[in-house]
Amino acid sequence: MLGVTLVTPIILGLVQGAGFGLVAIGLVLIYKSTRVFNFAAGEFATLGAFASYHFSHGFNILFISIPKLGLWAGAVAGIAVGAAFGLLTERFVVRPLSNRPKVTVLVATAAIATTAIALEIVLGATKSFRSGALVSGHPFVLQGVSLLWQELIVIFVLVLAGVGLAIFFGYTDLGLATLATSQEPTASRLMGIRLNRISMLTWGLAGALGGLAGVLLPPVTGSFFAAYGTTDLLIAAFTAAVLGGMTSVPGAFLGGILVGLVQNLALSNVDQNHFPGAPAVAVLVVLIGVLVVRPTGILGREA
Amino acid sequence: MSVLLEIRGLEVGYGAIPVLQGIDFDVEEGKTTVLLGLNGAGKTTTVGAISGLLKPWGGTISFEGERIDGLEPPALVDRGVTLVPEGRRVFPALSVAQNLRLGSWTKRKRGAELKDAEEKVYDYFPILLERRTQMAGTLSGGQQQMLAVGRGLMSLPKLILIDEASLGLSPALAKTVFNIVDRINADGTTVIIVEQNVGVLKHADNALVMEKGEIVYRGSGEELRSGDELRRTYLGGGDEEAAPAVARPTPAPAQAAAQASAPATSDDEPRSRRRSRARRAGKPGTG
Repeated sequence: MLGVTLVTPIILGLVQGAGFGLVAIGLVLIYKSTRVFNFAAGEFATLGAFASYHFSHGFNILFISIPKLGLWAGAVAGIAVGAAFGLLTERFVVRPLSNRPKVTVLVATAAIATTAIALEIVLGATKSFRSGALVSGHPFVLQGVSLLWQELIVIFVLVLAGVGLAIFFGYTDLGLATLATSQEPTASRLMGIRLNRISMLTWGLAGALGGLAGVLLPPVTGSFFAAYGTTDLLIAAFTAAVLGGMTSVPGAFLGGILVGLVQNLALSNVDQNHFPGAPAVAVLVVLIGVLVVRPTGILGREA
Repeated sequence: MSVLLEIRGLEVGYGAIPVLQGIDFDVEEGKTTVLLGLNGAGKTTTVGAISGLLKPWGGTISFEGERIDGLEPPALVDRGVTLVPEGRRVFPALSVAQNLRLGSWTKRKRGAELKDAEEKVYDYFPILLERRTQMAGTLSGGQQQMLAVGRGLMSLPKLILIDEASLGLSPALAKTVFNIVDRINADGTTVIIVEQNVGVLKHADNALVMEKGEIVYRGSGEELRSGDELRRTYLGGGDEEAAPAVARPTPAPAQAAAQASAPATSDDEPRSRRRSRARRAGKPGTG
């Protein structure tokens, strides 16, 4: 009984929260460097999922036939497509608007999201896709709950991404330059930092993280579809980023886990017939609670 | 002395509005040149064009005999031209040490030289060593100015341009910053200081006075400083260390006391003698 009410939702919450965390870290990266909330972040994940699926299973496009490449090559393609979409967004939308008000860039990212959704509908109509787990094999049982290898990979990758980015920002020249650019762009230029390169790095990295989430999460959550990232990931990831402090990579990591846990605990312990939407309300209550106690979020400072 | 920087017919503007109307001047290697003038005279525009922040409309800028007009700041910093911008613009959420580290961005592979440069910065500004782990945004205005200059020095410049070094600083602090500029210059870096504060003339080899985008006076710092008529004509008077080019209210009693109690630095000593004495003493210009 304990497994159903507590252990199962905790494990599922950790896995799902790890996915939210990946997208949230991407949001934080963009926010740190441009001070803009990226509405297209969810679709970085969806495009990654689509690319991963199609390259794994093979597809035809404009008289070109792409053969089946298998799950791992498909995963690499998914991450690469996410990164490429991030880079294209930077080069053709964000950079030309760099001298415009932030709200203009914000609206532009929303336009990118809707354009990506339209592209996904063209690629996959409105049906759902099931992508295979990267690592199969017998699940192992923890406190009576089956745990898939894919779920462990998701958590492991989030930890790896969080630690890697914390080291990047805290201890490398390039990471410092990225932070400096967000704080004082003119002074950064005067130090010889090329702002366009930092911007490309940030958007490319955020795109790759989104693509990674799109590769890893659908096998765990069941399926993906057009606009999957925006409808199923973006709000949760945004909440995670705000909970974490919006500029903190470890904060986004913790925020993602917290949102995943709260959602799944509410889902398992509140009767959905009497209280539909309990998971979303529970997350909202936690968000408000955290912001009342710590208005800057859990780790609301540069990291 | 050879000419390090040569400006010919420089024209710069914003949008469709011209600001610099074809100015010419030279900066000699190893000297301190002061660019004086009132607000809107075109001083910041001039250093903005030299440092690559603004694209010239016309004319040429040559550094060490090579054209540099139109180059981007990274290429200029790499060649040894660094601007310390007006308003300090330190990275507020990074520590003092991290700010300094970013100053050496284009030279980050030159480990040994950077180590020496860092030691020198901490020698010029010991307070920065004390505060090295403190976030730059929490420093006082004077400390931020020191950090901005120190960060500029970490790029191993041959020519450092300091825009409004004394803006917002108390007279005593402004004096301290100017004295450090003397030491930086004595240690071999050519300096251009943009100022409204005529007190800087004591620290200048050469002075240029700008008005409405043109250079209306050029001569030695000493000449401009000692010539009452000249100073009145071009700068509107003022003969105190912190007296600005524009009329400023009489300092408050506390400020005046700070000025009076500031370390004596043989204010009336000519610039050339101060520098040679400073070199001999090993701690130039600190008096």
